[in-house]
Amino acid sequence: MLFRITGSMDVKFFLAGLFLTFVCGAWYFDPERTKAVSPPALTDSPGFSLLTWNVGYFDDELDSRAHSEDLSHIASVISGAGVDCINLQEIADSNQVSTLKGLLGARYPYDAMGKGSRTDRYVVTLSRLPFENETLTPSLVGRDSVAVRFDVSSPPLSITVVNCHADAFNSRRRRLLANYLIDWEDRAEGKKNVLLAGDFNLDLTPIESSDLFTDDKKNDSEAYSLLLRRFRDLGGQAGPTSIFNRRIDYLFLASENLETVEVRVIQGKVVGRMDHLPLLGRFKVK
Amino acid sequence: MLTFVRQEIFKLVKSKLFALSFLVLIAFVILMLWGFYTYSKHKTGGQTEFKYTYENASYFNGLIFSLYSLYFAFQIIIPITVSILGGTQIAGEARAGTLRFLLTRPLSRSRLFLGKYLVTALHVYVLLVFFVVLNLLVGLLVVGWGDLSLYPGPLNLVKEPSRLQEDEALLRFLYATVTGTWSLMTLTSLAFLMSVSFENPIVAAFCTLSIYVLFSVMGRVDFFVDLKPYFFTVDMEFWRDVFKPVIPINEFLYRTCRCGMYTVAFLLTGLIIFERKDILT
Repeated sequence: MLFRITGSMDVKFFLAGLFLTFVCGAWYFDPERTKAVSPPALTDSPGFSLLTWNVGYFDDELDSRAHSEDLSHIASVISGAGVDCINLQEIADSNQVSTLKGLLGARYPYDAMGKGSRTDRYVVTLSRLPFENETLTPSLVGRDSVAVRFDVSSPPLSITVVNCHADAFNSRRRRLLANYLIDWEDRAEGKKNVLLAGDFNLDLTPIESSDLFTDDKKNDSEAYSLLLRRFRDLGGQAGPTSIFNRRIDYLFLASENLETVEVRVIQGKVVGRMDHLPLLGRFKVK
Repeated sequence: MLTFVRQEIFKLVKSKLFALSFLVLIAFVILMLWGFYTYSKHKTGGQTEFKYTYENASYFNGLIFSLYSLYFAFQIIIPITVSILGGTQIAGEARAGTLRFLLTRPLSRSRLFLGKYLVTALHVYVLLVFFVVLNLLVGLLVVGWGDLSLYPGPLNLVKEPSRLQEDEALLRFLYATVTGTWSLMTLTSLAFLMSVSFENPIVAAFCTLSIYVLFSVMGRVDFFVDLKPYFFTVDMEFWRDVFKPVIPINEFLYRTCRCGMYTVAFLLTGLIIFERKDILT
């Protein structure tokens, strides 16, 4: 066709027509235009819900742990979420736990706090349901995780929730934590419904990132892939959980008895210089 | 027109730039091999077995090497090559003093412009095919082929671990030569626009590359998140979607059309400028 065009105006008209065709094509195939949003499914079945939230501040701050002046706000967010279990990270000390429980009233009487030999910040699990707890001590990581086991619904279903906070600066340690969690889940008896909920600091940022290949990305990718062999990543569609559009807080589930009802990031709830958003998960028993 | 295209192909094949464009890519593949070899040696304490990672004994094979190589090359070395190829077409003739001579022939400016564009497009396609085949052959000889395992993180391709069978993966590499060429046509058209705007091929190539790098960098910085949808470099990245286990057809066609938009817009603008330009050399 090009060879038969005699005038330059014809060529320009042809190109202009082609341009308009592509514009129409781009409009027609625009994924944003065709995206459908499904509302979360509602259910009356007995269920379980939890919230995970790193309540610390941005790393640049002098003290990037949770600040006591924010505890009343944290309590109001927790009360508003109305969940069974809360996993918090970056708690500075047991006084903050006591204050928080006081602010929450009698709603969350049970708590478990991780320890650590080389850390100044801890994971804390609060619950309105009684549980048995177990401290997980991953080697080389320095900061303990906490596993709590609940009995929910009737007939009783045992759910184990693990509260983790992986190293923010060392991807090898994050990989080691993932290895440890998989080994622990392998060894554990009676742990059929396991939820890992916490700040894993696995920064994969598919598609968007400018990093082509770094050791950090490789280690994080391996850690994430390892976890996906046993667990499902529930928060993939929930969006970023931290500043700079990073998704580094995760809910992983290994269970045949629990069905996910809703996983979402609660927006607009940070105060001070917090850099993480709360991640909420609701489940029903099959 | 056909005669002109044949002549241009002859000129191209005889030029040093043609041979250099292939040599650069060969050098890149050698560099990639060296990089992987030394990385594996460093990571495995001298055992140089880069096969074992992701607890997957066959992760690193010739196909993943080819994919990494193609992916990295697409970031800068191929755009540099394409910018130079496109930038030298009209500006190079002007600089050499042959453009006026060419235009004395019974060939309209639009045909000359489009003829050269066609030849450049062919050159880009041949380069890409050569590069893919070279990588696959090197990968086959050095490591061997197998299934293409994809993991989230490196390559920024998938959100969960996935795998393409060897045959399917090879077919995707074939698709990538087409999608890669289409993607690069955006840059080629921009280079042609610069080539008609400046008399100097170096300036034309430099401007093309500067715009590409500027948009490419800005597209990856969160400060410019609102401007990002308007950067053609973001749409150019659609070529790698053919390696996803399930090609997202809607998104794929959307980006293809957007690249087409930019390509035709640059081409049309370049043609208008070229037709109105007073050729003095």
